[in-house]
Amino acid sequence: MKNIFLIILISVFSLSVLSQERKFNFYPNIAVDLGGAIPFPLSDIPDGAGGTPKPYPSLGIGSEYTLNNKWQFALEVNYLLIAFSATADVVSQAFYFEDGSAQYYTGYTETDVELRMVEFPFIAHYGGKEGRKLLFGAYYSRILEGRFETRGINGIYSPDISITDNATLPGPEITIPYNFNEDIDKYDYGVLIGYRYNLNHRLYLWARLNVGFKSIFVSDFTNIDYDMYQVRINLGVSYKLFN
Amino acid sequence: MKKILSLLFVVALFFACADDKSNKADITDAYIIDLSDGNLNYVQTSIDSENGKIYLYFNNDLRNITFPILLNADIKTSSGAKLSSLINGELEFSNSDAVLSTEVIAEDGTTKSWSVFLVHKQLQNSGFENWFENMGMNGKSYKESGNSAITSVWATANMGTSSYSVYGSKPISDGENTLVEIKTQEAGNLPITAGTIFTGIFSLADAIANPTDPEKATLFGTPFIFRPSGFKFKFKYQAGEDYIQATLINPTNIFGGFTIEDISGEDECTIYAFLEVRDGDQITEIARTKMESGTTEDNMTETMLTFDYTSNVNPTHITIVFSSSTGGALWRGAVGSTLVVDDLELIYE
Repeated sequence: MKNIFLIILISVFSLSVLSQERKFNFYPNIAVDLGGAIPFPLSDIPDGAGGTPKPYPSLGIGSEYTLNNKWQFALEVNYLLIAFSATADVVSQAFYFEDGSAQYYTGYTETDVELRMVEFPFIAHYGGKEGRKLLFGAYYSRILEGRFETRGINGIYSPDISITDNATLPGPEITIPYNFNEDIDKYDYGVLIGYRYNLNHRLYLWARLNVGFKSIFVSDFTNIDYDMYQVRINLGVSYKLFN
Repeated sequence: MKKILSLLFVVALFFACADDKSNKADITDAYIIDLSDGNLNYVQTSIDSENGKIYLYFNNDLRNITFPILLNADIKTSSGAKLSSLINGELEFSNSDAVLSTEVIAEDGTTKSWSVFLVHKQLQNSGFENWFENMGMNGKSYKESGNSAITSVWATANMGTSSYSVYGSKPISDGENTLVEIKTQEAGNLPITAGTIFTGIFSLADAIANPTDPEKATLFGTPFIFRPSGFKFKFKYQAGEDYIQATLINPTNIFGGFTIEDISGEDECTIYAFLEVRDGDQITEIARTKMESGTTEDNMTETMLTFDYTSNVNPTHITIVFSSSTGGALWRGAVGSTLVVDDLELIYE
């Protein structure tokens, strides 16, 4: 965490100096983040599954380099929290244990995911018309804290897949928790695309779609059949500090 | 202006009052004022609001009382709440193990279920005659001791191993008589799971939260205010062949595998009991007794255990535990060790 603040401080100082040459500028961001993580392959998303993202504000700072009228490049540091809840009716969802055994679950599930992170996006802005730009780029994020908690509610739980394949629901009135908090990785990276609209010379509105390129879980997490990838939308506003 | 302010005040007061309906659906008192049988010796009532349970204590062995019995109770509820049944306070019990159920409806419509228990000088279903069907995690039916999950004072760890279709405690028949068979078994990746039956509650949530510490799932104790000198019961025990000590490879991961070591000697069953005074979070043990036994003769033998008291006060809870492997919680035992128990009776001298 100390290192992150040091990087931010150096970035702010350097860019403030460079901004005097007008090629560079510097801006704070405020945004709303919506999203979370989705299973991959997508075929592992059960029919009828539903998700509810929980919007949280995010804060950040960025610096922008203007190459020419069409191209600009930006580097940002953003602090954000993404959270969502999902529900699904699953059939024989496997959970593999370290000793090689497996348990299968059929029934209703509820999942809560929260990832608190510092994100470093590198963004290219390309625009023909004045004030309208397409964005694309890549990001790296450091996960400060992660929560991934699933509950199997009133379902059938067995090491024998033929039992869960043919389960009659509801099962007993019990809740079986599966917590994967310890298995969330410390970092993530991916790509982003988006659109920016300049309200005036200083104020920008933008929307971005961020898609993770790695599972949110650590590489040796093999307890479930699928990986989970970050997918989230940011809607934000930036204010350029120097004219 | 004054009139407008007065009107606003009245309207505000109206809405404040309208929103102020209580959601409390508690029974705050249930005092017995009349009894159908003059031999009944009512002592007191205790109320467990958290679990919606009312215990009526009688200083009798209710097995010697002719049922049904009719009790007339003064039942008080939270302010504005109403009983859905037992409205006139008449409580009719068909037998000593019977449990009455009712609902309390709060002022705002919130409902809460309540059960009324008779507690006397013997424990409910102490002959282990009554068993009910319960659904395990694998969706299959299995047996638990008592009349229902809500009303039984006895619990087993059967739910915890039900996903593997392994049930450590089950009823067995001997003619008209029903006994409890408690058996140490393998369950999936667990090389040893001791069978157990005890007074209290088996908490699946605690079993899942603490898989490497099986004792965390056993919430011992049932309300009880008498001072037995001990208890007697009939039992027989057959130790399993291979006495082993299983050790978790990763002490914090139940699914990380075990190392298994043969150990000398033979498995033993354990039977123990203790009496406690519980006052909020403060728990004081006032009496305890324990026995362990290796293989016995093949016929049921009556045995008596005597409590060693350390206090003169009356208890609030009693715990009695039967387990087929004394080291079961430490993954030590022998698969196949079998304890059979029948006819538990508390002794007063």
